[in-house]
Amino acid sequence: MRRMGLLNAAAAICVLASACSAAPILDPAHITEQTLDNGFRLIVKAEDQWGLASANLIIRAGSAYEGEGQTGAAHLLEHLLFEATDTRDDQRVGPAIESMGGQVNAVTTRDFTYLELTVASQYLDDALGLLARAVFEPQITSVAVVRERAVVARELTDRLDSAGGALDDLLWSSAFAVHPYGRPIGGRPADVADLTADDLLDFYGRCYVPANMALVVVGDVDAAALGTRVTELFGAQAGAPAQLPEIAPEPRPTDVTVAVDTRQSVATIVSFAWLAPEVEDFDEVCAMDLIYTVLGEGRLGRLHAALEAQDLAVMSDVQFLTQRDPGLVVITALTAPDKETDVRTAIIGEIERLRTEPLTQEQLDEAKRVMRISYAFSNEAYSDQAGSLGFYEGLGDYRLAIDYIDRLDAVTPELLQQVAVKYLDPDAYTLAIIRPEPRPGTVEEARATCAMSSVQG
Amino acid sequence: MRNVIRAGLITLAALTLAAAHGAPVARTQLPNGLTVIAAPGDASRIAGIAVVIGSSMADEPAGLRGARAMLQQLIVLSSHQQINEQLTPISSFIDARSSGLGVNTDWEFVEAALAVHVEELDAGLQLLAGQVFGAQITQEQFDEARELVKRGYDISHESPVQDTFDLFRRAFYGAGPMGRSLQGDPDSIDAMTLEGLQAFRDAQYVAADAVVCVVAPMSADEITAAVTAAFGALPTLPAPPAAEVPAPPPDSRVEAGDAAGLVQASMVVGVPLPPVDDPKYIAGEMVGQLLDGRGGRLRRDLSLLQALGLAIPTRLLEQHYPIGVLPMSMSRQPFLAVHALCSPNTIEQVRRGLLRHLLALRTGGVTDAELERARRRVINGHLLANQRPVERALYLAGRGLFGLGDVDQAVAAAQAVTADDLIAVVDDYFGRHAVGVQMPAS
Repeated sequence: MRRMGLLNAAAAICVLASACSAAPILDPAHITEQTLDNGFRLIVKAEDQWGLASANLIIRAGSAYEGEGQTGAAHLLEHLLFEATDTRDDQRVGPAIESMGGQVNAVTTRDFTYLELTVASQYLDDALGLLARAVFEPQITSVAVVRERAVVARELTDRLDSAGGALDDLLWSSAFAVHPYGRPIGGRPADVADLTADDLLDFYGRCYVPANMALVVVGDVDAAALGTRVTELFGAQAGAPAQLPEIAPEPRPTDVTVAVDTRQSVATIVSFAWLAPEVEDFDEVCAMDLIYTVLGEGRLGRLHAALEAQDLAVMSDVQFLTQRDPGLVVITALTAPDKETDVRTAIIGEIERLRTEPLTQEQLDEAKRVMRISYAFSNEAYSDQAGSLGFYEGLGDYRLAIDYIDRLDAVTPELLQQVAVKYLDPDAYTLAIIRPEPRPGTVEEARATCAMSSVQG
Repeated sequence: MRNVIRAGLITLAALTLAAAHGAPVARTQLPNGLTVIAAPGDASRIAGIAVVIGSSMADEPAGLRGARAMLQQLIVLSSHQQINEQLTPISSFIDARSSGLGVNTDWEFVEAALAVHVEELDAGLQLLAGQVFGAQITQEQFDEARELVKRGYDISHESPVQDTFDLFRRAFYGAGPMGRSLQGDPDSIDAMTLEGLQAFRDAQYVAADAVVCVVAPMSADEITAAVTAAFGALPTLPAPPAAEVPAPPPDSRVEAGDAAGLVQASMVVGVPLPPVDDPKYIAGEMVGQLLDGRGGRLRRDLSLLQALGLAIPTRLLEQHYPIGVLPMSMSRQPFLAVHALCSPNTIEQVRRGLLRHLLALRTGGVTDAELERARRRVINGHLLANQRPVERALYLAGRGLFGLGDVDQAVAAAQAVTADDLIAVVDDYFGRHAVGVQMPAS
């Protein structure tokens, strides 16, 4: 799933039959799809209320498709599309949408890049025109590249200055030795400084082809009329196959890898990561979503009970983002330096518990209920729904967003345990630690620490 | 079928309002005087609940100034635990969910809102009804709220922008209640008693002076029945008599202050607008949007930017432009105001520059492109305020308090505005102005 939830076993809720039997949030009856002759895809969820429309243009051009030495190209190109398509404010998608009072944003992920906007339905035609210009008529000039490179460099510096950003980069780079998911999405500062207009044109030419793009629109629109307009705007571009590099799979770890950094801080942050199921194994993805719900990052999850409630940690958190290839499921805790060992012991203890103790049906049902509510909040507004459909389309198929609750409901205690055993190996994971004082970090050191706590030998 | 109590529902008046497409919005009044707005919407499984009460600054008597800010803190404090106990805690990463019960105190009203899954609508309604209208206040809670309000007062007055805004309000509204700080003042907060505050709430926070709006994937009848089950038992008390709000001063005024630690001057210049329930108000909104944002007149005026006397990098300018129109609030005595940061040496030049833009429509025209841009900004602004059910509930409840209809009404009104309408607003209302200015202490 795209977000996270937590378990509240104590909640006393009156579940209404009428609410449960209502049409699904992403009702397939409201959704149409179309593939233009050049391969460009259009997915529309048509509504008849609220006078708004949200559009999400997805390009399968994430950081994973960058060439070695050109990290940051996807993100820098996204900046250029948003800001530098045209020298005139009213012809650039970002400034123009902002000027008309709409909402607009652009994001680069490991798997894809997207531009999203929300405007009054009556202005959607104009907004889509700006989107089409942004992706098909970009001004990738040396001047624009130099300007935006400076902006991105500042962003990277800010990110690395924060403990969270540094921890994230440390964890992902340590967890992936082969797969490009290990690179920072924004790129390595040295690579970004060397990126040229030619580099971006190369990346653009390989990835920004109609067959590698999809537009999701959710809102108060006429699907047929929208299809005609989108064909005009996005269908005239010549079709060409995307030239995406072959990506070697990341070997499953067989050992514990520890990476340590230090910061001026009074607290220690520990972050465990295991390779997670990829989107193609969607039943396992759903089971992993339930696992993080059971563990939770909030006050009633198992981790909260084992860490915050025991005064071992100030904060704990579980993250799992579904990705095209196996990504990471990450458990993070913020603690006092003298409690680091206990925290690590407790986390591994909860992992062992998931592997050895199957959930009761009641526990599983409660986790599913929490996920259902979480899913509803994740799809609250049109922009959220366009984001959900676009997210899964970016990973391969928007229908996964529609099927999500049914697939989640089908998870059994047995499958959940199988997934825990398959992915959450207490003897093979990546551990990133940020400590307030310099200390050496090695595999042996991590093992010794855990051995002392009698969790693993 | 929903298990709700229908027997007690007596509809005194029911009115179907134009809706933002989809199912119509229904407006009902319960026997205890509560106005209920039911807005069906099946595009989401989330329900938005909003309560708006017509208690204003003018209703706070001497000795109870800041009472509504105290009640806001009390509601937030006491609802926090109940939300955790009665509703499913959703990850803080779900940014779509407002963080528990949101409460806001405005000069002219008080509002509280909650987003829940539709499965939890009944629990959410009960929670809101109990917290806003019914919960008894303990001395411990009262003392905690007092400290929070005083801390909030101190924090807000550490901000030069907030101080400037307060100065502007004093210049615009004069010595009347609308010119005072929302948090009262430290003396009035210190002097307040638990009994006095409780009596204030019992008299002011009554069903007859409140609007409840629910946006949910249910029929209007089901929504109204659910609201009735939660709010129908509130006592039938008369709405408090409307406190007299003095008319703002007829002349232009300046209020100035200074503060240590300031490097730049901070200034707010504003002019009156038509009341929010006046059909001409929408033209006033469009005047504001003519000036505001990327592509607006204020940003296009490079001489005004230079007059600020500030050296700001281009990239920072795009993110934090030093001149901007302040958000307009729903009010019977609203204003259009512009805030600017500038060098202390250039405040008069900047004041003249801002006024020149505010008054420009008197002598100059507005191009078709400018008018269309302003129209789009107003229409997008109204519709985007309805994105999520809880936002839409707040929007409808707030407008309901002022007797206004759904967003379609605002959009249609904006569609009909002409350049002449804009000029008429300037001619009729911009006859005086107010300035609040905060200077670095010498």
